[in-house]
Amino acid sequence: MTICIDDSILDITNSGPVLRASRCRACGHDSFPVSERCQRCMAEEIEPLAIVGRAQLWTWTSQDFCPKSPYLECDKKPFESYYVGYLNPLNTSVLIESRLLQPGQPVIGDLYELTTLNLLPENGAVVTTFAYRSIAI
Amino acid sequence: MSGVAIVGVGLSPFGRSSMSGLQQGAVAVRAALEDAGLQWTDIQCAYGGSQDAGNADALANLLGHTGIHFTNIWNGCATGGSAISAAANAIRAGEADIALAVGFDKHPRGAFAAKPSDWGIGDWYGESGLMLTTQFFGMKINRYLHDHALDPSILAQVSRKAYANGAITPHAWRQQTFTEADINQSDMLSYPLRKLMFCSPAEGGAAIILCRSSLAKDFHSTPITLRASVVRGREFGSFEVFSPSLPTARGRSATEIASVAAFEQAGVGPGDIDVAQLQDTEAGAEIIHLAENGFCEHGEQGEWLKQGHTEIGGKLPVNTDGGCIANGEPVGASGLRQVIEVCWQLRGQGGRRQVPCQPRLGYTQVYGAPGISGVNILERAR
Repeated sequence: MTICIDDSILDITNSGPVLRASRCRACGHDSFPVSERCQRCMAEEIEPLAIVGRAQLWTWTSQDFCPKSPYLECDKKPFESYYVGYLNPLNTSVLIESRLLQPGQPVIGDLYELTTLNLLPENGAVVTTFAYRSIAI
Repeated sequence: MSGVAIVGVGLSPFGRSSMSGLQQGAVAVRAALEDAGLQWTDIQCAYGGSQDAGNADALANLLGHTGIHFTNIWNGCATGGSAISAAANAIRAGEADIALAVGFDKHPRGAFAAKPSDWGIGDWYGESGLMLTTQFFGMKINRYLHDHALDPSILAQVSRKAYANGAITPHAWRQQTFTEADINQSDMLSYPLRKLMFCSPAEGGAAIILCRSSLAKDFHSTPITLRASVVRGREFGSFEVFSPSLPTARGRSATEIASVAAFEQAGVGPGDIDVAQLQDTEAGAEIIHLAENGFCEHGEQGEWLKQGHTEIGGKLPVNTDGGCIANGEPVGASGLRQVIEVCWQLRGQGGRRQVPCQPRLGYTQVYGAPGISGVNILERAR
């Protein structure tokens, strides 16, 4: 059975994944996850912001050793290195930290597309989180 | 900052020990008391902290219950910076003439484990494989190198210096030197950072005795004047660990804010500093902190390292005892080790790692998550 890792941050729709973020009506600052108050100006006038589609890579690194629990695949062997990064979804003022899916070494400035990633913990569940897939290739 | 001097310093060497963390704290306090020629009963107030080794005020069980106000301090890796600043302020406020700042710790081996809920973050963040400090450091320096057109090879240069300085520091944990090739062949942990570019959690204790400057000569032949002691937080938008998102507009870091305030308090500038300790959780942090503390422009670090400016004997020796990379990081004690090393350098007690030409002004900067920086400026009393 496939379950969403947290439906307060990620909505898996028929047309693809949506990240649940928020935008401040007072200053325009975007927050992810949703913030009750604006983290920049502390205003309470917040509206939902759905983040979908493309984003530009701002920075990245690799994860070359297996993370400890609570990482859902902390017991999976053999461990396979993965990439993470911060990306700026187009037309937003936020950088989102995410797993990156791609064959080679990432390049700052490249374009990515929001997608999903299934994690397979030892208990047999399939847990869906979000990730960004490179479209530069 | 008028009126406060350091008259006693003591270290329980960093690394691995059979002693408890509290015992290592007590060893450091006794060494500092001996250095100042004082007794525990002379200490009028105390500030201390530890992450994993117990409450600092429990040191009274080992040192004696004298009825003083012992305040426990907790500011992550910046705990030592907060302790010394609070002790100095107690003297400035007239609360005490003689005060203690102490830190100690004893961490389990391996990277620090973090729980998302402690940071106000949903479990999904750790479950997705995103909640690792090593990733943050890798991403921060990767963007920094990109923004300022710096070559990643400077990371191995910083690490080589740390181990070289550690090897001539009798109390350093890491005593082995490594070439840049050795460092570049160690395991990649989080690009561009390899194993030998990181400091490790460790054990140890550090203690500093401060007093009103007018009394300083009674206790030590070479008192060190605390010209500035400043702790500051960050502006919104600074790039900090464990951030599921960041705004696209960057704010000033805690270090930039603390550094400016400390130089203003001391009435000196970066060019006046003779020896410095800068937070080097990993090699990239030392690179970034050179510029954030005002010693060079962003992007100038490659040229600085090429010229050897940060080596012992260079124009600004940095982390003369090997810093966090060679000493490890017992979180509660780390910021105080920095101050102790600078005191030894200013007193001329640096041994084989002594900075030449009798340094007069020293600088320390400790940085802690999630965005706290403590800066001290110290001067050998004339």
